[in-house]
Amino acid sequence: MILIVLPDIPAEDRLLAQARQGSQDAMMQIYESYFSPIYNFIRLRVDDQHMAEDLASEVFIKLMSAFRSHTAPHHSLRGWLFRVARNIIHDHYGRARQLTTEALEEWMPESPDNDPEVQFMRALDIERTRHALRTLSAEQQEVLILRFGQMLSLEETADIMGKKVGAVKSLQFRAINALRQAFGELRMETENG
Amino acid sequence: MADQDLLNAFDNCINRLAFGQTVDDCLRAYPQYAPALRPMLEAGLAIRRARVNAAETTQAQVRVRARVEMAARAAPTRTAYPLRPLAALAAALLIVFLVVSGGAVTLAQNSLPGDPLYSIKRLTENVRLTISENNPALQAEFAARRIGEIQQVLAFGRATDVDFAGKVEAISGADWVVAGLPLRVPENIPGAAEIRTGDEVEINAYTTSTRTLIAREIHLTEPSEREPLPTPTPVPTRSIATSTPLPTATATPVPTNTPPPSWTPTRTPTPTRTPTITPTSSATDCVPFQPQGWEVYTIQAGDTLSALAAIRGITLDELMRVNCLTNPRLIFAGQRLYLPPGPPPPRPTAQPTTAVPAQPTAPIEDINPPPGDNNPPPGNDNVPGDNTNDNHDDDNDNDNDDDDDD
Repeated sequence: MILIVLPDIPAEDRLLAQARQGSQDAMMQIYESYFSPIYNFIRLRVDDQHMAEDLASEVFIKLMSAFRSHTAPHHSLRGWLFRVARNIIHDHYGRARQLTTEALEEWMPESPDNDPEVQFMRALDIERTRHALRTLSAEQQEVLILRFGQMLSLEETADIMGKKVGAVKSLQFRAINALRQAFGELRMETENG
Repeated sequence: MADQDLLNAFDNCINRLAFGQTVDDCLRAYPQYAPALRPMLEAGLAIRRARVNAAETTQAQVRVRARVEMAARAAPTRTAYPLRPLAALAAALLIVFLVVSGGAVTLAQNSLPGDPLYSIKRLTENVRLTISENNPALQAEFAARRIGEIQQVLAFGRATDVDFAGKVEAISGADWVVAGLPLRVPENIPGAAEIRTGDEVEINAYTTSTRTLIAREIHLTEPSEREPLPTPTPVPTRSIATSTPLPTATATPVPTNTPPPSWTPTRTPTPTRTPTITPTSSATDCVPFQPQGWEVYTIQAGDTLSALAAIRGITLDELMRVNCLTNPRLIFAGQRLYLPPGPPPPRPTAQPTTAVPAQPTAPIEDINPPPGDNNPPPGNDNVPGDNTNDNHDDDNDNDNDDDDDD
């Protein structure tokens, strides 16, 4: 019989602990693990590829200095990184550069199964999707990228955005309808021009 | 304000999509809202498709790496302790104990790189190799076991250090295939440039949570120095005997495939099989994956993911990753999961006092037990209604880290 109970620390926490101890290896492993989701998050918000790269590097440089100054998180690194990424984007673009999309909450057309709106959305290319996405408010973009792009849970998204779960639920609803309207405008342009 | 039910239905559908269901799957659950929900969900899927392509991400990752490395170096360098003396002593004592007590060795046999008992597994192997005077069959068995372990670690998305040996099957830029494993070889790894397809190599590498295997060191295996291993060459899907007790001296024959076409010293450009790997893109495209040796388990009322993980000797995190779960509370009786083999979880009374950090046992909402219509991949099919408001997530200690507001 074995009576030794070994602590079962999840791998990420262990890595974080090593990084806080100053292990560059651990820091770079963290970088390799998280670059892709963070870059994707930023890139969908930022049109310019090089700007997106710069912002992504800022996120990770910030993490490295957090390790140095002992302010790095002990858990939930993903949430921490998304929060930092979000703040960095805000700083770059200003918190209130936005087109408004009010009066959309009640917009709820009857959509038969084969309706042209759905057909149009299915045929959208990446560029036009991104373009439409960027016409939304910052928060609307964020909630859609986190929920649909990154498939984070409602709770995790709320945590990252510093909002209540119920507020995020309403926000994602408004955001998706704002996006539909943006797609609708694209469609009009396509059909008219 | 929009209809609260529709709001909830929409949220529930997003969860279902995250679990791999289709738009139609969800609309069937909410027929009354189907016309309203469909275009919303299709719009959401358009966002998912707009993910940055893997090539761009990889390029950016390489370009940004140097900057981050510089920042990492600026941090105080205190090398991470690999195994502290006391721990080494403890491990040594434990191994003696394990070897003496025989049967208990199996405890470590299922461990994977990164597990506390993994070093013991490797030590046991070394002891057995020594005893058997480096029996080539045993060496091959252990080599193949490394590959299987790495496949599992990758499936879990566990970030850890690994080492293995095998044949280089393909090289396409930084993407290699070694012993059937997709391997990323960063630039300026010493000696990597000299290695060709067909070479036998030993590799020290690490895995990331995005299921990427990245090389740290690569060495050509020198035939003069060691017994020519009956190489576990193309081991596409080695089945490692996870639960069976180790065969003792009579090592099970490794399926030695037909000898690989011997490569001549004059390295003719071998037909490079381009590996079909997209190293970084898998972070969110989660597909439940049944690791070898795992079974399909049907959740019973009263089960919690943390208890299941504990009793089967994996972490909650791994359990969730393998099964593509994003919320540990979002399970229900009848749902099917992949689990490593092991004892059934104890029913209500006794919570297993295991190593997994204690967790408030989540109440199981066994609403809508699925009408057994789902197919083998574990039934992520039926996401229970709506579990959102004031459910605190399990890791409720992720607070006060957001000191980076500006």
